[in-house]
Amino acid sequence: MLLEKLKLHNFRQFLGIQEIDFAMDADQKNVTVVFGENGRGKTGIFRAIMFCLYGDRLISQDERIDESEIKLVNLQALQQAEPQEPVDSFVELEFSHHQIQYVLTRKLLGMLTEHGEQIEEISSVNLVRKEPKGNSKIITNDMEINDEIKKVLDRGLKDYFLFDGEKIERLTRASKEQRKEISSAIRNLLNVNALERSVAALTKLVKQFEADLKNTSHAELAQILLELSRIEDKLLAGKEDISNIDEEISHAEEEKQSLDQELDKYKEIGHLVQRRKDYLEVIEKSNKTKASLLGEMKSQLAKSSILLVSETILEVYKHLCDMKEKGEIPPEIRKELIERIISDEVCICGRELIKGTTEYKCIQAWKQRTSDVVMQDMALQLWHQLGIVDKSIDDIVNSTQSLLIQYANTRNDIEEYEEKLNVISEQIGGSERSDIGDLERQRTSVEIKLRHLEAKKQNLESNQKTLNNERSHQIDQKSELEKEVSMQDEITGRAITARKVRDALETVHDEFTKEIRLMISKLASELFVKLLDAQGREMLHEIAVKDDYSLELLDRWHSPFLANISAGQRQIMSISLIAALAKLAAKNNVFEMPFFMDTPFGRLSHDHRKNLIFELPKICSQWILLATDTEFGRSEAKDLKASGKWGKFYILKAVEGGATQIKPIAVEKSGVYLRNTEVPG
Amino acid sequence: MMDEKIRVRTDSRYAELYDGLKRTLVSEFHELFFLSACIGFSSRKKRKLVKAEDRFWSGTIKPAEWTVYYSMVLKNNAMDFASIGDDKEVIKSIEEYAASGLDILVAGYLDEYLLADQLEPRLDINAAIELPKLTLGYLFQQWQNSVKND
Repeated sequence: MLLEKLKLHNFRQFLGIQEIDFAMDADQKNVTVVFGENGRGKTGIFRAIMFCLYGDRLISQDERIDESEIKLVNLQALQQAEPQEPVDSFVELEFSHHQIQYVLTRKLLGMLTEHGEQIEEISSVNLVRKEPKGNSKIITNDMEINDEIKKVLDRGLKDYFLFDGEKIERLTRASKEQRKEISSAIRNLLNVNALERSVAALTKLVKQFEADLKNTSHAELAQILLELSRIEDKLLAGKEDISNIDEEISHAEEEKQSLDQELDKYKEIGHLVQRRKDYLEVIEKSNKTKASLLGEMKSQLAKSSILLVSETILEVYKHLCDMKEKGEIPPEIRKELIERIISDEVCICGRELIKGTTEYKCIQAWKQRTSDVVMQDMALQLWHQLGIVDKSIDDIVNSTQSLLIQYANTRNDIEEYEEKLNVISEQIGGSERSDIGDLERQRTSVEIKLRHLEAKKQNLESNQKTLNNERSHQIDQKSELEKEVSMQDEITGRAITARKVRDALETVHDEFTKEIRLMISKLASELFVKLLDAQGREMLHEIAVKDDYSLELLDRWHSPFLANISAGQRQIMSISLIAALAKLAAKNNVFEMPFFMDTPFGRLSHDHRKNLIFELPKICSQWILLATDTEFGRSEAKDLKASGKWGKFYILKAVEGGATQIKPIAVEKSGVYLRNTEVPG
Repeated sequence: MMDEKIRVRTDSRYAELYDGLKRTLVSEFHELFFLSACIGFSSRKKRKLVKAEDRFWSGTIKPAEWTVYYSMVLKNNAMDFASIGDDKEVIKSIEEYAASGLDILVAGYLDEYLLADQLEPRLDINAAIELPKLTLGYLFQQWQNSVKND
């Protein structure tokens, strides 16, 4: 299919009749650029083609929009018309396919109601088919038109050639849908599904024959048939189990990928999270110190109470010291001795002691100054204890002060780190992002689950292999038996033939799809490497289409790398894959199908864009590029000119009333309308 | 001296408070009694116990605490050693200082840590975690003030 001309009339932003002639000389100039700022109508052109070819009002980017919300007839035209007067609108697409010319026109009628509501309906569709010899046929029946379009570009395939930027990246996602898309693309493009249908039909037929045989055959043969049927059932169940495990693996991989993405975000804040962890550790440690200090204070409290009465202690101690100095404790002469001298009236020197003499009075005075033994001991003991207490007061002061200072410092530390913690928590942002540990644990658990699933799958596959061997063995036995009991009647013969054909077709299918996957991998890898920038080329090596049709990207050491590539590299990978599919379908010639891309450059680096501009026109028959000012500028235009493939250039220009005019510009003058682009890093 | 067989009594109104403070502020009853007595004595306040109950044995009182008790009584009795001749009398006198000391403590800051609507003062244990620090700070502050005044 090659697009030749698009004519729009009062469609979306395009008031009146507007036209685009597409560059379509496959050997020479086959690139058309339609350039416009966002909102000018690039997607309107994409939508016009989808509408014209398939009657689609919705395109892939309208995922959550109801069809009734999409209005196709130009609003300005409706407002200019007489009240409640219908306005004509149409999209006409001229294209060719295998030398047959087609003109497809889809018409609409639109009207504004008295309440200002915009209503519209498709009024007619017709297709003019012109043979190379000049015979023309006009088809107006919807079904016939759809059949004709299906032959040119099947609806299932359109997404691989007519797509927007979003669509491109989706192909590389590790999801069930992605696998389905790749697998259905391969099936559709290479007609593998016809083969699969044949295998399924033959399996059904074989089962039917065997059921018939079971009713008519010898007991031993019936036993084998029963066994065969049991094995077949087990094989089927095993296949289903493997498919379920594949599904689980896919979910686990998606979960792992999403956790990786989440963890990637954490990489940016990793140092902050580490610091927060450090702060939390300091706070925890300080809280322990604080608790321990409170314990110490509890023990210290009784000792420190002495501080309140330290003056009294000192006073009493001094008093006792004075008494001691004066000899009052202990007394110079024991009280008992003095009392004996007085009562005996004889001095210790032997002289008589006479009452009323000076000596007698002195001895009486001594008696007054002495106290009894208990009191003396008590005073002495108290003096001794007070000495100890007095000496300990300095130590008590120091230890009390030290505890209070330590406590204050610890509390300050806690407050300081709690404040730091608050600041850093705000920077990290939200408790849900607080614990990388949880995410890492989840990831580890998903990885373990994946390993278990892979192991389970391997076991099941090994069981399947054993069952297949068993089946072959049973089939051999059955054939032998069938011969022996001369039951090679018509049914047996048919059953054998059907089984052989089925087995052969299965082998062909398996070999063919395996070969296709390898070829697609090879072709896609070749192109991928060409399209990559130097840095990517250094790292990335090969695109592999795996057995389950999921994609894998291998680095230079043949390790999986898909989860780590940039959005731009993903787009390049998808384009490489689509181009490989196209090349394979065209048996290595240029596949006659346009690459129609809506804003595909947004995420590509300068080198990627440049490579794409040089390589893509060589491998496709036609390239139509709807580009915006942020992705297509002077630099890209210069590269495209240098490729020698750029044939047509249109700009979408705003005109009065909000409509858009499609204005053809000579490629040579494109620089005047373009500016320098900023490329993502 | 240091009779170990005396039952030391405290104000029965403070029975619950003694239990609460034993869990948070001090480790033993004799320590709380000593702290209260020091506060009461340093404030020159004592209060007769109208309704008292036995709280602990005097055998748990440490020698240093006895020394302080004797010093208090001596000081209060013009250093007359006869005043400390009977330990029961010494303890009786100290009980009055301790009762007053605990009154001061409650009025000073302990009331903030008491549970509301209780017949007798009862400590809110969960709120009183920092009481040792608060009380130690109070003792140190009082000591600093006395040093400054000197």
